Amino acid sequence: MREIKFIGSNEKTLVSMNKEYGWSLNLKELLMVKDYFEKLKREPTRAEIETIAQTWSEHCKHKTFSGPVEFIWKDRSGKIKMKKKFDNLFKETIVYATKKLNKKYCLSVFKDNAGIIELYPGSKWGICFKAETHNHPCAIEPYGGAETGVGGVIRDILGVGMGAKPVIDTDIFCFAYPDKKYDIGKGFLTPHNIISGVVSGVRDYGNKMGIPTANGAVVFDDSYIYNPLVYVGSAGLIPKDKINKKVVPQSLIVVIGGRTGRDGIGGATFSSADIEEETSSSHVQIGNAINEKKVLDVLLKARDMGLYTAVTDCGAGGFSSAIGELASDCGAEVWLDKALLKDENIEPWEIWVSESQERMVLCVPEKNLNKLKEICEMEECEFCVVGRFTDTKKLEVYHKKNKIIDLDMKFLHAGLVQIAKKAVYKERKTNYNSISIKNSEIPERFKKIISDLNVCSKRSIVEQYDHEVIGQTVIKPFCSMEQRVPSDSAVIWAGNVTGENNHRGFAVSCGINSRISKISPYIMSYYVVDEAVRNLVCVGADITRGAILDNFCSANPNYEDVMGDFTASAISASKAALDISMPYISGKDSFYNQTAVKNRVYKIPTTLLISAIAPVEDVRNAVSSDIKSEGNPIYVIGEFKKGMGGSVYRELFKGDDFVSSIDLKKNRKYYLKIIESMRKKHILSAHDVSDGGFLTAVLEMALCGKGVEINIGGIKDKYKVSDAEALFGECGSKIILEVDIRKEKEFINFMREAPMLKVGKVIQGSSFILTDKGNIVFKEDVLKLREIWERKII
Amino acid sequence: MEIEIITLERFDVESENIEKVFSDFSGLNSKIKLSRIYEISKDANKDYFKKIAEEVLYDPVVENFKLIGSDKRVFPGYKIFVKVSFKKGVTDVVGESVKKIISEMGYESPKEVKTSKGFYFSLNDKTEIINFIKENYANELIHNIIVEEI
Repeated sequence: MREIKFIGSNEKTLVSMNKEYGWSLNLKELLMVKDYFEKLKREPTRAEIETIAQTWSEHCKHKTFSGPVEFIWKDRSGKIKMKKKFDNLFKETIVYATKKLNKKYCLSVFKDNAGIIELYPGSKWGICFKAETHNHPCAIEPYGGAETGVGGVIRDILGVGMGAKPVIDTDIFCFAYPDKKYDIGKGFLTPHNIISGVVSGVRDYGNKMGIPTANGAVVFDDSYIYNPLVYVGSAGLIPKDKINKKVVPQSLIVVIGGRTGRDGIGGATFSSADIEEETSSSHVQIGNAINEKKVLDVLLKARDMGLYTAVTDCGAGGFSSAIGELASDCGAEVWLDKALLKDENIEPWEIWVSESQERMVLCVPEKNLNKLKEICEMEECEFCVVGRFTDTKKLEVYHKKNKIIDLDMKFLHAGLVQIAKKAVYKERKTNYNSISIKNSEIPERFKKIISDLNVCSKRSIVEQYDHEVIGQTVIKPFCSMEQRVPSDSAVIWAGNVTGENNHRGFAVSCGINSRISKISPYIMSYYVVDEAVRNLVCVGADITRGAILDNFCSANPNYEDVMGDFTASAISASKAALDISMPYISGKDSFYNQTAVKNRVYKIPTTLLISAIAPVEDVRNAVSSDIKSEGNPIYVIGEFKKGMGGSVYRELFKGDDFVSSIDLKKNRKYYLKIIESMRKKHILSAHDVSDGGFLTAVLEMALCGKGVEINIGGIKDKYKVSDAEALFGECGSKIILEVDIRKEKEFINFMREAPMLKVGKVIQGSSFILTDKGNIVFKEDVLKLREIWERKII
Repeated sequence: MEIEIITLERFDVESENIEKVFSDFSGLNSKIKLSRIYEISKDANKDYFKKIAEEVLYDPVVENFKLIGSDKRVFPGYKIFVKVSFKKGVTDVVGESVKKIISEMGYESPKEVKTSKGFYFSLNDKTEIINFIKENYANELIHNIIVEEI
């Protein structure tokens, strides 16, 4: 048994050992560990230090977000605008919003592997939802990293409550441009290599699991050159009576699924460090979807037979984290030599922290073991008994006769005392300058915008995923007969899992915007919360019973400016949720997304992904975004606002960097009216205005080959904006609606209090016509524009 | 023995895509052919590998296969061959599945199955090709890259 010398070691030695072993503990934490073992009057074992490092890691503990923060907000002149001390930033922002909203349909929030809301009032089912990041693994091995990211988030759904059935996966990526030449540092992968690998990994895992990948987004920005962001999500359905789990002392600790090997050792602590030019191959995790499918089949059968009382997935930190968390209130005795191994040439501490994939840990009463064994054999799923839960409040781990870990659960899970991080948020100087654009410039600029990677079709990525498997995806990533029009949300029918004879389901969407974040991370959070919710509104989902997830990604939080941006963004994310009345139910954060190459530090901007979910009363009535019939009027609901900040137009042709703020309380009012109007069947199609601006959004709706005529004059007059702001600006919260001409009067009357403007109509043929006060500015065939928009990404 | 599977010309969209990526990357044109390689460790005669190729690995409608032993690799019209395979110790999930399927189909189980990707180039520019593969289709952290002149 290998001991590490802590007692009597000075600070320099501790720091040097920390670097050598890759624990990613800070000096204060190292001193706490030293103090603990000095009181015990013995040296720690390697396994004990590895366990502490994993349990206290950023990935497992989220110590930055849930830690104390001293926040200072400075205005553009450098004057202090606000000073605030947070004891626990996460609880005082994200959790605060959820508590304040106090929605009764939220069945489980922030305490399990995923959040859960009720499928509909009085339903026996809940919808669970979780999104994760797998950034660091994807930066070094994109295929394996993406695969295991998908596998991990699916296991979160399998491990929520007593286990849920996953029914939809989501994927949201942030990459550098694959078609741009970068001077890439030695040892780093090119954006093309990363994108191909990540997309293939998501495809191969999701498709083989038989779960549709049906919602997502892709963002391109130079900032992600060395730190791609790979968010993966999964939603599932769970019977309400299976939401609570209980660990019973004396029950067996059973592991089902994959074997344990040396792959992925140190993944959790790796997420607490910057990526360096030399990174070890031991961080690479390899996925095997077939094994996970077997785990899924065993788990759901065993759940329905009541064979176990608690379950969790083996993710970051491996057994150390999974068993440690399950046993945190009682204690556990673990026999590592009983674990099934891929390779016998593995150290005991490596078995304990290995992040080998596709493993779930179950708490099984001894009397049920044989029945569980029968199911595992039937599904050809390997399983082993690796220990027993106890009531000693201690974590005791053995390898053969050697006790390699003997730690108090209290020290392990509550022993971490955190240092307050300094956060300084400086408002960026922005300038408003109403830019003009000549009518003659509009056609070429528009074509350039729709072929930009942030705007163009994501078909070459999306079509690699099976988004229809299990036959329950009602609104798919592309709609219309030919599947050419991008959808705002995926809509999933729940009936084939619940077995209920109804058409209930739910919608899933997302919002992300790094361009605004570079100008104002504070305003960015409002925009992404709004976009995610607006996407739900576009399909007619019931946002009064919806929920959202927060996934923050940031650079190294030890820099006060990075922490400042992050804190400002978390504050506004909380306010945005309160304003739009959507509670957070789960989330995850990922720090240290920065890389030093050739003496330059590359940091990502604070990037917040909001994933949203809401029930759909009748999936047959869900509204798609493709234009339906000639003669119907086209309306825009929502205000056009000043500023070209955050727009694709500005990235391509310059422009001011001003971003108007948005009022989510006000937006919610007209979003609810739109949903009600959809129920009244006034609205035939709906689409939100996002990347590319208003004109792009209208074109996207017409990509099914329908002709439209749009008049820009009314927009400029009503909202006092420039041509560029009207056509290509991305400020404000707008939804474009195709209204049934037979119900237009009813619609106008019903929506009269909303900011509303009739902007055009669906015409015969397939011409896309833009007019300004009667004059034709631009006329082109929709099918020709579609060719430009449908460029290949990879 | 290696079983190499190549998609028939008229169905081979993937190779076409790689040609385009190569042209964008290097500014050069080359005919490129992608192949899937299964390296099967088993002391057996050619019939054993032929049957495994026919019954387990290849799709006769859209693909062709060839067996490659210790002979020099040949592919008329192509000059450089690059093989991208997993480094020792990296889990080869497809290889493991193929090994299992072979025994489940009633054949004697091989000792090991290792999978690789093969890239044939008509262009004879080793340096450019290696750079292209390294930057687009391999990750040296987990892959070995072997280049042969054919």
